[in-house]
Amino acid sequence: MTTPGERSTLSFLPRWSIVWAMMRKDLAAYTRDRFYVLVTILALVVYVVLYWVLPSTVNESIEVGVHHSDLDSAFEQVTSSGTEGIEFTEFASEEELLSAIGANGEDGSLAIAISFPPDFVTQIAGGKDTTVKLYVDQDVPDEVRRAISGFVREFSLAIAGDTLPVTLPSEEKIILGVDRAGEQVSLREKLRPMIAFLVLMMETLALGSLVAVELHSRTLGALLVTPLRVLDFLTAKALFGTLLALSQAVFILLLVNGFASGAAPIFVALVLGALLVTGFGLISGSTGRDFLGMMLFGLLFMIPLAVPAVAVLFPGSTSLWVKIIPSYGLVEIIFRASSYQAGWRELMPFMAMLLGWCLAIFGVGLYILTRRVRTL
Amino acid sequence: MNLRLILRLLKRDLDLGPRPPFVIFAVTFPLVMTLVIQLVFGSLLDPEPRFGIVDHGSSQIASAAREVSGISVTDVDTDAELKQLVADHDLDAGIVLHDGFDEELQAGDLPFLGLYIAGESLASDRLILTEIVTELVRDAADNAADVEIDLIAVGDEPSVPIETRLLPFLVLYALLIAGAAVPALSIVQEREKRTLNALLITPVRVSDVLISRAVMGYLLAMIAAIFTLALNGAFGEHPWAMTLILAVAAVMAAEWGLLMGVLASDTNALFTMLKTMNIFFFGPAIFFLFPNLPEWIAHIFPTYYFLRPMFDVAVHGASLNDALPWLAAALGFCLLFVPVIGFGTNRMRRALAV
Amino acid sequence: MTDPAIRVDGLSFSYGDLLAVDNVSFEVAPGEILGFLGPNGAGKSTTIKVLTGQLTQTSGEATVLGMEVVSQRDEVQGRIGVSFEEKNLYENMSAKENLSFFASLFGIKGFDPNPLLKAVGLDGRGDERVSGFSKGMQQRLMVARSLVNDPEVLFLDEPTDGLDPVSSNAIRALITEQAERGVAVILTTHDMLEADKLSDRVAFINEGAIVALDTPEALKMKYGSRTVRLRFTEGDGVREEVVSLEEGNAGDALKAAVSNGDLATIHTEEATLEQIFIEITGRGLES
Repeated sequence: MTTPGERSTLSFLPRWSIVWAMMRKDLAAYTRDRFYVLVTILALVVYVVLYWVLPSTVNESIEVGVHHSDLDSAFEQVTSSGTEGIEFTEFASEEELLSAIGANGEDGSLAIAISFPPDFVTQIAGGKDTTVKLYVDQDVPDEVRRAISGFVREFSLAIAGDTLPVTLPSEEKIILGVDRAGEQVSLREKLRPMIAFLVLMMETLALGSLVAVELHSRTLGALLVTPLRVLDFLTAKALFGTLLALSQAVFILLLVNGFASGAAPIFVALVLGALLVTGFGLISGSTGRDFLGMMLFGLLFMIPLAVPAVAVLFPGSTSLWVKIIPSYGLVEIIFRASSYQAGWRELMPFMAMLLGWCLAIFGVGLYILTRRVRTL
Repeated sequence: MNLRLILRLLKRDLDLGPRPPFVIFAVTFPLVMTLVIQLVFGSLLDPEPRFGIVDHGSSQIASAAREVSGISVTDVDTDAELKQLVADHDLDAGIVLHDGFDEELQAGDLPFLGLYIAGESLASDRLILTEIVTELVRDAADNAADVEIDLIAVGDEPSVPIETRLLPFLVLYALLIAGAAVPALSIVQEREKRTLNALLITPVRVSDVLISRAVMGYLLAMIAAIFTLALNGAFGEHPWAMTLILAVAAVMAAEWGLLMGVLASDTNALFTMLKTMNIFFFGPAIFFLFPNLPEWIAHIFPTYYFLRPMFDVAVHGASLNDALPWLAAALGFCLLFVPVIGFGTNRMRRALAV
Repeated sequence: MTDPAIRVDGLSFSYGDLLAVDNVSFEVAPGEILGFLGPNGAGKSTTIKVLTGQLTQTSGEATVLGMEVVSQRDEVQGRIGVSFEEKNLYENMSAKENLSFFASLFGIKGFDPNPLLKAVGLDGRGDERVSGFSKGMQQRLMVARSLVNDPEVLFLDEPTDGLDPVSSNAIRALITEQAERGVAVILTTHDMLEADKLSDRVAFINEGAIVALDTPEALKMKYGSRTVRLRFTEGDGVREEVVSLEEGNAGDALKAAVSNGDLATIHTEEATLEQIFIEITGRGLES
């Protein structure tokens, strides 16, 4: 004899008419909560506005104002060869320079300015000491002041013909890794994975809420005395959650230009990401004893899952402990495909990682919900 | 309004009220956020260039580099490791100083300096680090330029660091979670479970219940806000002024909690309300984070009227006299909330009667 | 002789070590209303859950409409209707939406909820959200939902709970109508008056076992005593006298009593089902 609560009828396929009926009902429940829909729309708008408000380029250079009178050829030589990291704006007079830096009590447009004395070249060429004025705003960090001071010194040494007394590697060996000078990834591009992640995670809470409501309001009991089976219920919840998360994520990535490059791998990643968050939604919805518990579980998942998306904002390689977080693969795929035009080959390891986590979390979510349903 | 019943309800709320997971969340969130902001946000928005050194011969250049302020210096063991770190952009640049480098430099032998720059590094960081290296090499070679730099500071005092500008967010979080969300949740749960109906057939009145919740929210808000400011060392030079400001802020937070509690029909609605109305609560904090934004916009947010004096006292050393006009305005807003709460309460009464 | 709609034979169910249903056997014919009476925790709900496929028995057999519940659960659930004691409606949906949704689960196409809503007195309220319904309205909707698939067997748990007398009568009429159409009904209730009025037979359950199963009349005849209560007007007050009809000289005793004063009213009384239950089990229906 079967044990109490165990179904004797086994069937491995859901009944799609029933699943469809459940999904339509869930969609009605979801959209019926006008507040929630409003918040979802508001969040999407905020994310999109935030994205487009942020600058699309990275300002890599330190803007420096310059006034000189006898440096035309020397200075032109320096600026035409491109001094990496400095952008010079020349001023014909010192008064104009002081005005630009706000030395006269007005708001200035520059934070640093150099004023060379009129006889600078003559003094340097003659081996005599000379003084260069460096105007610096209070907010300029020490290292920047030091760097510009260093520039001035090196400039004067270059005029004097005094090269650096070391041997450096050849230019092509100095830059390691892909040289992205002038092509840096902007902050808003780095935020794309975070935006997609946040949209997906919000739907974790939505799905968790839908599951929790069915469990706690006991409507599930009413469902289980109809032809609906546990498998139908699970399929409907999982499908609804996944489609809801996926549609919103795709929509928002379209609005933030997320598919301009690597559309196919990004879409696949979003599908897997939607499945992943659905799994977490099933876990949080089944585990919380009430709505509040469900919400706290959802937030509990959200914090560690957000770490990879935050890590993308920082330069450097990712720590090992971050790489084992389930959302890491999703973030890397979106970031690399959209910002670095990475192809399938480069993205495959991340795809495999994401798929693995997907199956695991989704499986755990289904298992927990099944157990919860069966013990009702 | 019955003081005895209010105190009785308050005692029960404090004994049983907020559920442990939420209390843990309310207490730990400001702590976690403080740590995150101190450790993380500063380096995100104002990152220091990262420099690596492989020093095979105890070079004075390496020692000098470690003393340079404004850059982050890492000692690396091997050339290969340094190159890998630079290639991965875990460092913006690095140098390799072989054994005997200093001696060769002083002898004028043009020693080889392994200089490596990360391709992903910002041009400004490259400039900073290469100029520092150049300067250190020149110093070590006694090869200084014949030019003196006259450093002239311009402008007002330095602007407030980012970690400090995030303080209003932290305080608002503490006030909102502990002072507003906990009492709001308490009211809504009583409605959902209908224990409020059970209370109201005793001598307890709706006003008693709401006042006891407001007092609970007030106490929690004060504790959380004081805790947050203390954690961030942000009480300023006038702690009593700060305490008074927090007292007013806690009143507003408690009122906020009451308002949400009477308007939300269930926890689902409360959660949604928390998400939407928080834009209104948190709005002015943006103006502290980005001081260039026009400040007049912040004046439309009620929370600005305690955030402004709080920030001024904590960061700029303002006194109680400076804070009083702002606090008066904040209290004015608190008074304005009262009829709104009254309206919400009447609505709740009608719903309970159904 | 027609096959029973419900047949239970030696049914037992245990929650771990707790024997909740102990060797229960009974049958319900098509068109019959069987009342299940017993205190909380007696095993009524567990028995119903086994018959509706929510639980699987530890031992014994349970068949509904000739089908084993365990092995043919889907078929059984397609032909039964269940109304729960606890309200489990979708509160953010309207009454019509609730009914239509459940109809869709049964694969019913072109379902019109209006006749059902009218039958339970909710016509005109079909488009309102359940969250705005009173307790009684929700209960009526629960009953309506149990009829969505035109069931051949009905399991009704406290169907008139929270209803006013007029609505209760309407629901009882509905139940009777269903029985007259040949639907077998198992009715779980604490309302002994309802059980008495509606049930063709009544089963008393106590501590997991059926302790009595018969028509209400037969139970009253078998257990409890019949009496006549006479009220006499005396001055400004009233005097009562009770005469037992169980004695051999009941007729003479009654005659003597009737002529013993100014008779105001005379009522026959018989044992209530609760009194019978107490007599059989030593405990009340509410305990």
